Amino acid sequence: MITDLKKENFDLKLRLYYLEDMMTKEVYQEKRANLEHKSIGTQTNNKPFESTPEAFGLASCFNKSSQYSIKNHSISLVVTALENITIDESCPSGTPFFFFFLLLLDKSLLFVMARWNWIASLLVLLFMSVYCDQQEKVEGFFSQSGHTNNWAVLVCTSRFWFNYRHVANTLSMYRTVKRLGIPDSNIILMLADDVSCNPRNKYPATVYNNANRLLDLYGDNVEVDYRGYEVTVENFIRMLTGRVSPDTPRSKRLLSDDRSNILVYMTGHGGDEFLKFQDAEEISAYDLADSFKQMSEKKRYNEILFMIDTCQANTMYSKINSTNILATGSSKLDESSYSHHTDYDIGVAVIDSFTYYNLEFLEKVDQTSDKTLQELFDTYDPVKIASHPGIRSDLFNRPLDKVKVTDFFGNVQNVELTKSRYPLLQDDQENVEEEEKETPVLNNYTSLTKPTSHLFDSFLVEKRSKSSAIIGIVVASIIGYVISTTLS
Amino acid sequence: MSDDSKVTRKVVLAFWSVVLLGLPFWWKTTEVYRANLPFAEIDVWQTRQACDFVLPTQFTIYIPSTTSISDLSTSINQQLLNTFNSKFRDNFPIHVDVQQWNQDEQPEEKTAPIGNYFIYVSESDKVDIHVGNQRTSHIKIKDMTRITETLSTIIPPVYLGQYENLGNIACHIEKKDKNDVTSMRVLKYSSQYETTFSLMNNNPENKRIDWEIREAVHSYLTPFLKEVSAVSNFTIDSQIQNYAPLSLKPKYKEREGRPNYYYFEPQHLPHFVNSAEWNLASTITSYPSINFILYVPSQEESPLRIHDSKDQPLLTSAFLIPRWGGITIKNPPKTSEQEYRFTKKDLQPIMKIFISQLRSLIGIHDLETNIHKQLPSDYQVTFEPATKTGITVLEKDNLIRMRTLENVVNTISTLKSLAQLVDEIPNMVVQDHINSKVRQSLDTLTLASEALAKENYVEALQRSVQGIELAEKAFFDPTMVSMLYFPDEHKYAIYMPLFVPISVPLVMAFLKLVKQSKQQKLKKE
Repeated sequence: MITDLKKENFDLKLRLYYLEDMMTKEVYQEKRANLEHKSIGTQTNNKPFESTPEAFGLASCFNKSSQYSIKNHSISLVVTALENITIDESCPSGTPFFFFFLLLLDKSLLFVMARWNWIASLLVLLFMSVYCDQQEKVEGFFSQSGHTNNWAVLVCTSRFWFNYRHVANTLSMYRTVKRLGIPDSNIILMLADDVSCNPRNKYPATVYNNANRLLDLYGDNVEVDYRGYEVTVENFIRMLTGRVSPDTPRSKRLLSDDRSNILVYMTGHGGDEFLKFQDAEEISAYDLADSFKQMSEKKRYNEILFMIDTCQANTMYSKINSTNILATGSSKLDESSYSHHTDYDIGVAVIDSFTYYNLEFLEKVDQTSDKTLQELFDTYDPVKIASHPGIRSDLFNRPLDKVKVTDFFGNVQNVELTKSRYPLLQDDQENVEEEEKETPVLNNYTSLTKPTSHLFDSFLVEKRSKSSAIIGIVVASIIGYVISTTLS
Repeated sequence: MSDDSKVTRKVVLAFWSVVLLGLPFWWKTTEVYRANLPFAEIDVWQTRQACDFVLPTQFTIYIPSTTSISDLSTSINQQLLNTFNSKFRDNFPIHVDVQQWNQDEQPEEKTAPIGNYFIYVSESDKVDIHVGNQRTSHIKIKDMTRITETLSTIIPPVYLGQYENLGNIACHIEKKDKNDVTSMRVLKYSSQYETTFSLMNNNPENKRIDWEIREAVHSYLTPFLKEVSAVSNFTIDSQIQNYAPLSLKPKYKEREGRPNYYYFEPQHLPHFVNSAEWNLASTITSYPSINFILYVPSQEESPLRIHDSKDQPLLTSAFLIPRWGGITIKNPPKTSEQEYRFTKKDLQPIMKIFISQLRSLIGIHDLETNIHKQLPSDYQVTFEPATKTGITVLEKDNLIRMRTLENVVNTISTLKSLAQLVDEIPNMVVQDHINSKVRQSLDTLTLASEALAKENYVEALQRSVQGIELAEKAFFDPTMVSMLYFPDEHKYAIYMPLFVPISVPLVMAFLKLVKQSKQQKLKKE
């Protein structure tokens, strides 16, 4: 805690010094002037996606419901209750009763809304009854995204000493991802150059991402899978699509399946729809989109978060067309991404702005945290980052405020409690063995499920037969009708 | 003049003939080699044939000799088919054969190929169903005159319960439910799995722990694996890790009159496995690995238990991570000895937990869950567990059927993706060995469906495994990487500096030639 404060203090002082230094220079004044011009210029109606509030995640996802119920608190309760239903797994038998309860609460003058509400609740119940049919009884802990394992592909594409910050970017993400639980066997780290053992490194065998040098990223326990000249476009595409040669070791393969969430982070020098690899070749946005499409065809991922920190980064994800991919980039077309600050002892810039601000948020996240990607994207400030970050979520199925950061950066696995042992006997124990099999308890679990603020539930899932759901619907509709007629 | 012009004409024509002769050569040699893939056949499989599978089942029902069996077989058959309410009725032909037996005798075990089941019926005062762990089961019914109705209510839930699922899988009618628990838990099919048993000792300073895992695996697990080897092979390794810390602290529960203990709640369990510090990854094989962990907490944190969602401690202290493996917590005995060794007998309850977890991970559908809701409440059903091997014959049959159909469907979808890929990227090289693998894969599919029709389930499974492996090898062949993005502008940019400087004088000369010959013709006329 204290070291964190010290770090922050030093960091702030350094930034202040840097800012004062820059303010006097013309370059900075020009940059600010450019930004101001751009912001005025983008106030037109046909603004590109990157500069709309949605790109920064500033607009709420539930704009549509605001027209119904901003004034009436109980209506908004019902609306949020409707939206909080998870139709997929938990089919508690208490939900019809929950709806009566809410309807009874709503004793206001807006009886028209009450009628709409019970019709909506009727439809939802019908929907639920169809879905809740053949479910096993399982007790445990499940996230709502449907993934069972996490992978991370972290790529630094530039070589040479002055690109120290790209290696530092990648190693910072590596450290974050490991800290939040993804094991080394599920991380593929590609570093195009070795800056820690570069003869120009004043602090050999270390890589720092901050001028205060409090945290060595290259300490022990770093496993680089593709190093130096092995980081090529061909190797990258082969690794993503799975078409590696048969003698590739396991640590260099991406062994994801249809329930893996993959974080793909790339950094380096880039431009309009291309990213430069090793100063010799380029990968284009089409190649990347193609690789993702092949992964999608072969069901090699559940969801992908594609993060890229280069100049004109947002163009790299513009050609992707497979579902369940969420992309974020550091700067838009014709805009460069800037480094954050320089360490004057090492002599080069040590971290990029976009990655710096991402890390600032991620350092506050730990394995058990509930923070969502929406919150991460809300912290993007184009003035601080000095470029316009973009977010592409049109291919992504879940709303961003329901996606946890640990869904991509961490490794929170689902859990099922084992309630019984299989009654095995050994030959000499046929008569002596006591029966230890505990039969699963089959009583009905009818308490209400409270709408939790967590994004996950530990709950008991029961099998619902169709008949009881239908009875529930019928009773719900009768009571709803009675209430609405008496209120009107 | 005309001589010169004739020579000029011949020279220009000579140049042009070289160009024209060379053009097809150039086109052919710069073409990307693409073997002929059987697109049409793949399409046919995709749209129709997978759904045309046939999984026959045969029941032999033994009626006590006191009742008559005249035309009982056809009536039971009819009634079964009527009650078997499924849209896949044609895919699951059921054949019923009725014979007589003496009610006082014991039902005898019979061996038969997969798909054959023997049901012994006797009379009693209440309905009791005892399903054995081999192919026979003993059903006691009340009223012999209503035997057909009773049997047709009993047989579908017990024997044919999974058929609806199988039909859905084969005909691609899958519920698109991402959060379905079963599909999340079951490992994807692989012909080989690597199982690792790990003993994690939190603090060896208090107690050094060892275990007789080799003997325990040999007596308890090997029979199970031998039975399942029809479907997949398993390699087993084990390890002991000392100083295996947890990443979070358990909570402390105080109870009056009973000893206090530490516990974890279900929402903390996802962080139990400390992947960063426990070395669980295998670097040996690329086959999927299943990890089973036996965790021994340190003296400061024992006894350690797991609470369920109702805040009751679990008897088994075990939990399963879908598609990954299982974890059991065993508290160290409170002796003051420095060493403790888990004997084979101590490991028996633990191996029982591991076997039940392994069963769910492989995809063995437990018949006992939900059976009570599908039968009338006064029917008693008992399933005899397989105490020697860990998997009953009925479960094994279901597993073989499910994996066969899954493999067939996955093979078809892989081949379809391959065909689509080759179609969409005209630049992609398709070599001959890929073509041969694809054709072999299609052949195995045909053989598999033929074997299914002939009730030869084991061969059908093997063929389906061959099919999926060939299809995967073809799809993931290293040569299937498309050439990098090569748009038309690049093509123009490459060829123009070569061809334009040559073609300009050629074209000009040709035009001049044509003009000259026209003038000459005019002159002549």
